[in-house]
Parts: sequence; C-alpha cells; structure tokens
Amino acid sequence: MRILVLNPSPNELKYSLVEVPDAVCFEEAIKNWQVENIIKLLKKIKAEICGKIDAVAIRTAMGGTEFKGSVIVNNETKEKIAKLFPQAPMHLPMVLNLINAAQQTIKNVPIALVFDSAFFASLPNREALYGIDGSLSNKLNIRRFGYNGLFHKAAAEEMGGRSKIVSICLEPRPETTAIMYGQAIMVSSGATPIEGIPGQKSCGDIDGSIILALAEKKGLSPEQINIELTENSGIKGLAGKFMTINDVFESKDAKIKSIADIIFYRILMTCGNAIAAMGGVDTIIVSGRYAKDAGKVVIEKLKTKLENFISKNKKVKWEIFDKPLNEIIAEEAVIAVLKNN
Amino acid sequence: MPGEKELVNGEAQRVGPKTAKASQIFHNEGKKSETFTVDMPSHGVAFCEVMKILAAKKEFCPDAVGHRVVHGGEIFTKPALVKGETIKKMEQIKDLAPIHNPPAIALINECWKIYTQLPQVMVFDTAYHATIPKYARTYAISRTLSEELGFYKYGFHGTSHQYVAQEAAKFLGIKLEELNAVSCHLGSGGASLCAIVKGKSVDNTMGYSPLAGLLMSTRSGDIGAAALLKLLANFNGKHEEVESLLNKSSGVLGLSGVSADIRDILKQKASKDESQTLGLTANMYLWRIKKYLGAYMAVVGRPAAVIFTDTIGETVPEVRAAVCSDMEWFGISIDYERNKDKPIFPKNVAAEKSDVQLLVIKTNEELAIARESYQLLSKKMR
Repeated sequence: MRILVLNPSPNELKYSLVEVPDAVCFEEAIKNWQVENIIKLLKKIKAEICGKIDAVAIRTAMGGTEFKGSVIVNNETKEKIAKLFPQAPMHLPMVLNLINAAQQTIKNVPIALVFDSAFFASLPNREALYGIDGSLSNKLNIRRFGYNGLFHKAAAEEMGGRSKIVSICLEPRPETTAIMYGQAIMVSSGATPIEGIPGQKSCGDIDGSIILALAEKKGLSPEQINIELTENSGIKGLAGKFMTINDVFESKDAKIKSIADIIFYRILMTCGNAIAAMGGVDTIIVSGRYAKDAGKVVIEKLKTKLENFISKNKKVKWEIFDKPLNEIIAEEAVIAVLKNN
Repeated sequence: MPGEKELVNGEAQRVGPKTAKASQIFHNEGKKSETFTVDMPSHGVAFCEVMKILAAKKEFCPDAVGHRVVHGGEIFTKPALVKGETIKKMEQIKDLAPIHNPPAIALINECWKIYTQLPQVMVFDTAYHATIPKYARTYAISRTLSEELGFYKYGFHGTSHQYVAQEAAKFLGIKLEELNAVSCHLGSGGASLCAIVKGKSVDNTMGYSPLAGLLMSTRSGDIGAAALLKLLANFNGKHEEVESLLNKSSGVLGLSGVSADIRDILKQKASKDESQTLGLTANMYLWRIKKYLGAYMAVVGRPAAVIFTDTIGETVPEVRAAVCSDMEWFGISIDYERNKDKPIFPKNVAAEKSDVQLLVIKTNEELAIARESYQLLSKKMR
C-alpha cells in the first residue's frame, strides 16, 4: 500500500509517500492554508509522484478525548473536527481545509486522520486534570494531553507484551509517558506541548506565579506571554540562540552543557514520576528524531543516576526506537484503512 | 542547642484590623494556659504585648529574638543578625512574599526601636534551599527575563525540612552531612517535598512561589502554562483575580467544592460521593505526592530515608500508606500495622525488608528557629 502522508504546520506542509516500509519525503513551504491554495499544492505533489496513491494520512496533533484512535474521514468526522476548533484554534482549521482539499484533488481514496493525542484520550482523571474547580476546567477545556502519542504507541507496540514502559520521546518538545500494559497513565506534557520537559523553544514546566508576574510586572497580554513561552524560551531562551536537542547534548562547551544539565534533570524527574506511577519499570525506550544521538547520551546518564535502584530490581531493558514519524503515520493509516473495509 | 527546653509558647490571634471577635493572646506555660484579651492593631503591638506577658517572670526574659521570615530572596541565604545594614536590605525583600514578609519586617523594626539591646536573628524559609544546584533552580526561559525579575526556584518550608533532616539523622545515628533523604512536609495548608543529599537541600517542589508543586488546601499546585494562560484570558487579563483563584480557591477546596482539609475529603469520600469529585480530589492529592516522591528518589539516588512531617504527614496514616504503596522498586516498603499505631514521635514505619527507612517526625519550626538563632549568636560571640 502506498500512503501519501501529510504533516501540516503553520508555515509548512511536510509530505511523504510511504510504501511500507520504504518512504520518500518532501517538504513544501505554504503561504496560507486557504483551501484553494492547498489544492494547488496537492495537485503539484500529485504530479510529482509517479504511480498510485492508495490512501492519504493526515497527521493531526489534537483530537481531544473525542478521537481515541486513527479514523477514516467521513462527513461526521469533519463535523467532529469542526466542533473541536476551540481546543486547537490554529491547528484544526488547517487540518479541516487540508481534508477538503485532499478530497477534491486525490479522489476516491480513503483519508485517514492520525492523531498525536489519541494515545492519551483515556488518561485517568487524576493525571489529566489540574488542581482547579472542575467546572472551570470543563468550560475552558483545560486538560492534560500527550503530544507525541504516535511515537509512544509505536514504541510500546514494538516492545510488545504486558509490561511497564517508560517512553521518552526526544523531539523538539520532549515528552515522557508511563505506559502500563498498553495504557498511558502519566504524561509530562500538559494542555499544550509547551509544558513538561523544556524544549528547543518552549519553557516546559514553570511556576504559575512567574506567568502572573510577567502579566503584572511587564504588562504582557496572555497572547504575548504565550509567544514568549512558546517561541523564545527553552534552549533558545537559555542559550540566546536556536540550538537543537542534539546540539546541546553533544556540545563540549561548558555553558551549553549546563543547558543539557537542566533538560536532563527534568527528564530524570519525569522518569521518576513514571516509575512511581507504574510501581516499577521493565523497559525504558527512547524515540523521536533525536533518539539516535542525544538519546544515547540520555540513556547513559539515566543508567548512572538510577543505578542504585536498577541493581536491586529485575533487569531493565534500554531501547532506542528510531522509526521515522512518516512511517509510523503510514502504518497507523494502513491499520485504519484495513479496519474500515 | 545544649539543654533545649521549651519554656512557654502561645499564639496572638486576630492581629491587625478589627474583626467580629476580640483579638486575644493564648499563652501556655507547661500545662497552664491563660488567655489575654487585648487590642493588637499591628504585629508590632502584638509583640509588645507578648513581651509584657513574659516580663511577668524574670526567667522568661529573652536574651535574643529569632524571627521567621518567609522569603530571603537572593540577598539572605542563611540566618542573619539584624543590624544597621540589614534594615535597608530588608526593604528590598519586603515584596517577595507580599502577605508574609511585611508583618515580619514590621515586627523586626518595632523590636529594633524599643528593645535596642536585644539581639535579633532572622531565619528564612528559603535559606535551606540556597544549596539547590543551578540546573534545578533555573527556569527554561529567557535568561534576561530571569535575571531582571528574579525568576528562580527559591523553595519554601526550608526551616521545617532542615529541622526534620537533623532529627532524622539523629534517629538513624548518623551525621547530618551523611543523610540522603526525601522530606515530605505535608501540612493542612501548604505542602512540599524536599530532596536532600549529604544533609543539604537539592530541590523543593515549591519554586519561585509557594504556588508550585503539590495539590494543597487552597492552592492548585503545578498548573501548566497553557492552562494558566487560558485562565488569564478568561478573566480578561486580570492577573490578581487569577492569582487569587489559584492560591485561595483551588486545590482541595476548588476540586472538592466541599472542604480545604484533605482529612475531611478522606473521611467523606467513602459515603457521600455521588459525582465522584471527592474520590478524584483524594486521588489527585495522593497521586501528586507519589509522583514527586518517585522523581526525588531518582534525584537523590541512594536515599536512606523518607520523612513525613507536619499535620497531615504526622497524623494521617492513610496518606503515608497510599503514598508508600507499590514503591518497592525504590526500596520503599511500609509496615501497614506500625503505620497505623498511635503516634509517638519520632517513629519508623518501614517494614523489616525495606531498604529505605520511613520516618514520621514532628516538625517544630519555633525550635528550629531557636536553634538557628543560637548557632549564629554563639558564633558571633566567639
């Protein structure tokens, strides 16, 4: 099966034609996400690709608690996505336009929506909710989700069996989750992916009073604070310039190493959270684009820090899962298509 | 401190603006108790009234005063003797804890004016945490912003965590510098965990402010940036309202809608919980402590003990049992029977096979402040 994988972000459309297991990948800049503009782009892509497209898979970051797995698009799906707009006001309208454009240019082919959040749709309430009045949480849709569910799910499935897995996804916004017998019961991310472990531009967990102080002492609006914490924080905020997770963990420079120390420390704590959540651990697996490089450094440091406990328990398996995202998305789409027929 | 013995203690209540009931001082001397009804429009006046009560007996005249000050900022990282230069520095830290610091500073000023010969020592809640390493105290935001506005992790309950660490070391028969532990200060109001390596604090669940960390009586504890920004937008950018919401009407009170005291929730959840909010409140309260305990066990590496202290930590066995269950991977094994026994402090509720000792230790911030004051003054006198 040849799947055209579409991975949209505000200024870009990444796409790749995956004939499981091989893949051809491209990236196109896109000026705006109006349907007419997307149609033009998709027509161009279709012309470049020789041969059949059996299905289209669209990576969708947020599906709320509504979407617990990948789905094949029908009219009901499009309505459900429209209803979820308030939860991801930038991302979901883009996805809906992409669906409509794809339906018009790549006809008679199933379109699968593959969600980053689906793996976390059944996160237990004690983990997913914050310590505020429930009615306020409901009204404002304030709830914890994971944002790298596709990596975590694929990594867990690779490990197979009923076990306790700490899954660390090293992407630009890193994320740790505890997967117990196939179910995510803890995740480091929050209502958006900027929470949890600090990322390349994102602040990670931060004392709420600091956000209030930014409003009070710098007179920043919520939107301005959001930009500061999403685009100017993390490694960029600490280093004063853009650097990747790999750059930081492989650097020999003392100042940059100190940034790696900060991020590793947070990763270590999320591992402690995850192991406490599950009451133990069988496997610690690292996935994401930085798994092969920074991931190796992180694993060695974790082995050292957790040595005392590991030596007194059943052996822990350490794994690096480096399957690329577009293949993971394509495989999810294949399953959705097969289930649909 | 040689020959430690508490001679008197008490509480001055309803200090400040007049309330429905009269302001009173509840004074205890051993088993005797007395109540004094007296106007106390400020902490300074309250202090003078207390000094009058003490003046009644010669042996109760103090040689020095130890002050609890919540926030020392980056200026005061250990106990400090009050003298000319310190008064100026105190003005700089007045607003770091806008509810707690001003009364403490007013008290110090009052005492400084009237009792000019009485040495005064300030002991800070944040000081014990001055040893938190940079990688743990730095927030991942623009360094310029952090430096400009002092956005660092200060940590709180330091005096209590340090005190129980000292007591734990004594109990285990080791020196404080040999102690690796996780201390759980679980109060009926605020709560925090502290990671302790070689007797020193290396992390605390509170941060820049006491808002961060665990689910507390009326504080939300950790709340994600995006969630908070949604709240801020919902309240039209009015940060004071959000601050008030998160500090005073969230936590156990906000979730349960019924009580700010977790003990009430634990008692009631079995019977009166149709919408399951009480169960959720109790579960979230315990879950947050358990997760942080796991994180700090990983941070400490080779912990000898977990310490439970303050009201909930000392007197609610159910909380200790829930937090310590299924933690054998970390070497924690609780003896459920010993845990339920009548409280005599300090006690160890770990099972025989437990690698990690589970100590229940009564905190005593006043005694801790006295010890710190004594240490500082005896050094100065040499």
